[in-house]
Amino acid sequence: MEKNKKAPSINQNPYIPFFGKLTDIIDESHVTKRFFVELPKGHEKVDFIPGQFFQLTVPGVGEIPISLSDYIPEKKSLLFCIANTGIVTNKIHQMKVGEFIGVRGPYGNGFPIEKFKGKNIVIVAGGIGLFPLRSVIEYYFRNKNDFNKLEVLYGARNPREIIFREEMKSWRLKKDTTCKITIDKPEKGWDGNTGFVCNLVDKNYSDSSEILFHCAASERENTVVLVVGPPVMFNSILKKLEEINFPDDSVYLSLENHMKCGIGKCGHCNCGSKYVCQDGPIFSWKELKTMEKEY
Amino acid sequence: MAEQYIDYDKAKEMLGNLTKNSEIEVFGPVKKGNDTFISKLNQNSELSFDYFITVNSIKEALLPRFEPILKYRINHNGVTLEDLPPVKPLVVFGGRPCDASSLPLMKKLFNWDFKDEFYLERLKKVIIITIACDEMDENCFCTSVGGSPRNETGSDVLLERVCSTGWKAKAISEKGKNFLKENSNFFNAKLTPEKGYPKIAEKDIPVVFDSKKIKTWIENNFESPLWEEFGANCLSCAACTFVCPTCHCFDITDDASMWKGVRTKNWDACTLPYFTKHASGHNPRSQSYQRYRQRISHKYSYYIDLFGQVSCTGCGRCSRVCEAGVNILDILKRIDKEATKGGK
Repeated sequence: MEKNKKAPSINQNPYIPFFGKLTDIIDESHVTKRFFVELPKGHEKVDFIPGQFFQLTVPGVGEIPISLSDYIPEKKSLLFCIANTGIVTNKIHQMKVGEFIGVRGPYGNGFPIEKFKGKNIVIVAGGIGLFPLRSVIEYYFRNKNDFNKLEVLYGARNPREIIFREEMKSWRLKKDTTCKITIDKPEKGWDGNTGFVCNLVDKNYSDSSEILFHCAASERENTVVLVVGPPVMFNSILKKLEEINFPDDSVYLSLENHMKCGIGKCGHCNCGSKYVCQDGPIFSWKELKTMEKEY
Repeated sequence: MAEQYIDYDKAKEMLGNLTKNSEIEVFGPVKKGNDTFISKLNQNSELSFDYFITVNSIKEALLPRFEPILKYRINHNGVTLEDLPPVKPLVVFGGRPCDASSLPLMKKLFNWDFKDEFYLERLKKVIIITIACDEMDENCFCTSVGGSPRNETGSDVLLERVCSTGWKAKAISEKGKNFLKENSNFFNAKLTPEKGYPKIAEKDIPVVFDSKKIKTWIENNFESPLWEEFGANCLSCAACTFVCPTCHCFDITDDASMWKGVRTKNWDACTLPYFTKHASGHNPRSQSYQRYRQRISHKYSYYIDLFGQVSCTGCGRCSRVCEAGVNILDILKRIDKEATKGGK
């Protein structure tokens, strides 16, 4: 197989990580934190496509796949945003600035960002699904002239779990950018949108997506939709997109299958004849329709 | 070169000799209770050559159950990686052609895109001495997936039984040729081929299904209720995958104390319940029939899409070892029948 040809980044053992120092840790929500990892000498340059992921090692505990939220070349560091959900992420959450974390990657295909040039980008994110999409948003702002409008539709379970609050405020202020948040159920002290994020792409919804519904049809054809969130969210979003005949090759989704090796060997992420770690994790809706529903 | 023969005694002597060399790892057939297993040999191993087929496959030697892929020390100012022990040359004696033919299949996986040097290095350094089959049972179906009782694929040396206590040796590869030369003092037994050997011929194992038809059926019937029927008895114990010569799924775990640790690749199986459980708790294959469907579909459809070959050598081990009586051959025959009936 010739696709995704990439040499193992270190030496012959493809499982060897390099170790980077944690330079900053910031609380994001009550279950998520941001971790800045300094790239060690010899690994400062990362050839990265938004949507790709890395395998992070906590020595003595284990390894997990985490998508990159941002690569900051001028600081020679990587930003990982991580929710505390399992043994390894729990340990990462206990780590302190100055400690070392193992990194290998990037792996996976990433979003075909070149294809998005000149188009509107609609980002639909549920929960911590916004973490990997942040790299797309940062890419958009860094290369603003290459793209048209950006719309972020974000759904969180409750106000306490909203991530990137400050960023969203600043994104909103930028030219050509809209950003909408909804929480699952009404709550005291919350006067924003409520209901699932799919409602934000609902034509009957009062505050629905501007790009998808309020703009002319020509805009729609010039738009890509990127969806990252729990798999249960996909169905509702895709149903709404189907209702408005949105082209299936302009919708991209990120799968979050369980992975171990990240290099297409261990078999965990196998979904039909695809390895999500190598052929994905980003798939177009069109591709997904042909795949076995095992994600 | 004159024909070379080896008998039981010489084979025992040769393997015993090789085992003395600590620079080589030797695997051979060892009797445990009523069964024979391919095991790593030591000076005390009791070799047995009177077996029909070993319970496990030679996968044991090339893809170890536990294999260190990283060794490290944790210091105050970072982590130091330590060297792993080099892969030793291997001799694997006593597998069947359905074992050996799994090696080129597995190589395709470990050699695509990223290279898994652990497997590839072993494959480079191994001598596979296969014993052609002269017995079969109702679970054998190598001929239906392109094999045969005397298939040479993947072997370096093929031994064919010529009498009740010995074999004729045939070098298949350059490596095999050299091995026979270097060990010619063991391959010089004076044996007279007896009548009646080998006991079985290729025609004794009839082709019972068409793997192309099976692939098409699998492609079109992901949601078929038959899968529930096929997987109904499956206990999700993964015994089938552990004895399978081509099942290769693995887990990666860390075993560490405060200051040092080892990361290992360990056998895992798509039939185990938590194999696909997401970090969120969602499990796309939460039912045992879904996992069993994955096992069959991966071998008979997905692997062909990926690497152009069925990932099954027809050894029948999974059926023999299944405590719940799940029989892969019955299932494949049934799919073949359904495919013929349905025309899809």
